[in-house]
Amino acid sequence: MPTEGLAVLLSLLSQQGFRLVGPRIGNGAILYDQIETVDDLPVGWTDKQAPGSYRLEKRADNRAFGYVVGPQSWKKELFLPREVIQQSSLETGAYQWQPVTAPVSPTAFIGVRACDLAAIGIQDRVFVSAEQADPAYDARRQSAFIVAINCTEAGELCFCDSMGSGPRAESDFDLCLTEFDDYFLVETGSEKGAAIARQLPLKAASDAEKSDLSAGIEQCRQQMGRSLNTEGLPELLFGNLNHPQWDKVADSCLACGNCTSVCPTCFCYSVEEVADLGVGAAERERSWDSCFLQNHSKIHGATFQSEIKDRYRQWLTHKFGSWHSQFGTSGCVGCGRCIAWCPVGIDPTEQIEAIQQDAAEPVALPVYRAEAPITDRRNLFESTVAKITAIKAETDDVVTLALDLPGNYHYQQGQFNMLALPGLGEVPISVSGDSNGQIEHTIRDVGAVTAALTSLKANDTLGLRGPYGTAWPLAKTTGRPVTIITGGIGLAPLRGVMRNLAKQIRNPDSEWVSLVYGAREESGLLFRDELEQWQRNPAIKVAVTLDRASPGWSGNIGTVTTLLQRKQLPVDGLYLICGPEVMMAAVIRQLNEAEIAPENIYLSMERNMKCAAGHCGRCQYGPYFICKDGPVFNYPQLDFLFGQQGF
Amino acid sequence: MSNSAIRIDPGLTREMELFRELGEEDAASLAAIASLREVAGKTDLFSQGDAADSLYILVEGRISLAIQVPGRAHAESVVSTVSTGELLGWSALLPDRVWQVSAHVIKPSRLIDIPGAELRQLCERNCGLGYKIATRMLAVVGQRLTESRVQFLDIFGQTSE
Repeated sequence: MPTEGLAVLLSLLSQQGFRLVGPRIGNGAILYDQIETVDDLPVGWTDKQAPGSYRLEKRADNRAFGYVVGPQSWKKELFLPREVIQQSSLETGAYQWQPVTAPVSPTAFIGVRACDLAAIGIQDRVFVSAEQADPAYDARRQSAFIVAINCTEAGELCFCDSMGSGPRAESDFDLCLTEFDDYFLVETGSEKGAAIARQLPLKAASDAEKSDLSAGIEQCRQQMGRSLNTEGLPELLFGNLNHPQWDKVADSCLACGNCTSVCPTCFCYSVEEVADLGVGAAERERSWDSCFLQNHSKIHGATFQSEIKDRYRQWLTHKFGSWHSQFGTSGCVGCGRCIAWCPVGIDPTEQIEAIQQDAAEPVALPVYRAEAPITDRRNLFESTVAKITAIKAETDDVVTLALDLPGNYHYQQGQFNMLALPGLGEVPISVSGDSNGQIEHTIRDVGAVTAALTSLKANDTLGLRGPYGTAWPLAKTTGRPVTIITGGIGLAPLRGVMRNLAKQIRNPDSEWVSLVYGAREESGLLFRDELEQWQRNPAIKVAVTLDRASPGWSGNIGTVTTLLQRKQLPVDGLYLICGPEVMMAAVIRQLNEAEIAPENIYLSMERNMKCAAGHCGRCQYGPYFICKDGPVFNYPQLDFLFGQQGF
Repeated sequence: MSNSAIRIDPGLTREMELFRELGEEDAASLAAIASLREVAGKTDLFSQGDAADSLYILVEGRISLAIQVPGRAHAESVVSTVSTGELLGWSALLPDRVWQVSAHVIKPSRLIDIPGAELRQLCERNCGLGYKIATRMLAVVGQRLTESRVQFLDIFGQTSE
């Protein structure tokens, strides 16, 4: 196709109703912005990149796509930087929730490089191929028309060749162009693309032109300014979590999050409630988040990645490591944006090389397994309105809400629901049991949303979606002793299990249940009636310990581990643990000493959860999303990471 | 204090971890100076500030350890409880021999009472035995220290923002 054919292509796409987004000069960079004609393209311009540096320069020729990549990627068109995902309104006295799916204007992406094409494919795995699809992303993706562009020149920061994501666009495009001085080679990649191609001024490519393409691609490979050895990289990174290089990089990293903003695959998002000052409507908005920001890993007072070192390590080990376990691919496409746009020029290829040169033994990571998508394609954010039928104050700051839910609601012990109040937010709360068809949640007042939830009254309504996550292995409790070790609010997710075991006829000599429960003080003990009821069961032993004695308390004072030391720890028993992580870590050390097989230990973890579908990235724990791979884990899944500071 | 001293049955000492660790000969010499005591519930085993004259092994029962906090409404705080099989009374081996805590008998308990003066003499004469007992004491003190630290961390409490 002659160079002039590009104008024909743009006008054909416009005529077909596509909004055109392509390269355009703005703010001293080449941006992906709305364009109309060829005149909007950066004809005759290129970009010169180095760590922490990006400059536009004139080219000697008039190529339209003679640059590498700018700060933006196509992510901003598919996974919008800011988007309303849900609206709530007050109708006849009760809140109603409506998921929002904004109208989609079909968009043609003009000039998608192989690395960015790979990046779109990676985000598709996060948002579409997952168990639950993101409806808005999916709609925009389906309607997009992709005009890819092959690279015949590489930049100083490019390493797509190492990541296997370029420089040739192989598939997943509608049309693919390769630009030369006076012509374009055009390839079609879909029926949609072929239909457009039939209207372009094309002629069959000559053998010389075809060899120009392979020579161009080869030249590009040779020109790449960066390279990376990806052999065994995920396992190597997780085997080197305490490598001194993390401290070195943290000395210069500003934790600004630029790298995650410019990265075409970074997908973490935050969810905020946006309420106007009137009553009624409130919106839930999601926006790009960064694992470099402190709030990313924060839950009611705990920040799991408080140091810059923790956050840089989270980013790098995720991007190049745990991404493989989560999505079956690296999270890096080798575009080099994070190097150019880092204000201090940190280069992940250099960081990785430093670790590789002086590396400790690799550790095995979980293998990726594709998820079966939920077929009914319900909206991920769709909430059910649930009515509170009963409220029980458990302690000064803990309340159990019983909710009336539709008959088709089924959950397993250990799973959680997302509970929401309009204008305030949504929080993950474990189901603490059910009685008479009512689903119970035991909630501690630790923040704005939980404060509001714990002050609700009977007949009030709230939004609920779920259940999510993994369950306690109830099937494994039969025919063996079961030890349940909990502390504080950690008893709530295990109450259902206790109730279940209490109902069974168990042999007190071989199938006894031992509950070891710690709390701060007597007034903080949950479910006291039930504790006493269980105590009367001949097959159940209840042991309670407090950190602080109150007058008249004649029970144990001391830690859960001290109490556990006094208990028989049968090697064939099953151990279920839920409580503060420091407690769980001490308990696991004790169980290891008692030679309990790690396979017989289960624990429930907690992290920052926003979406409950493995999309928002906030609850990551190494290769896991606590919301869907957990919260209940079998200990061998976690042992390579558990207790490691900063995850 | 309602209690009675009884000579120790070797069968009982064999059940106790400390004696098991010592080996037969040392265990016998320790048993020779020890006696078994039964104490009723709701009594005090010893009081903070008094002379620490015995080391105890709790054969059965529950004893709480409390520290006086003058000026507090309840003037005393229980900091730990000791249960079956556990040691208490390591102050009896310290140079000043003063109880740092009070010990309240919560449940009727049986104890092995090892008089401090005789124990110290025994340890001095038999350094090997003394070392084993000192190591054991260190483990008890270490355990209490860890426990206190964790209690101090207030892990079940609400962390401040």
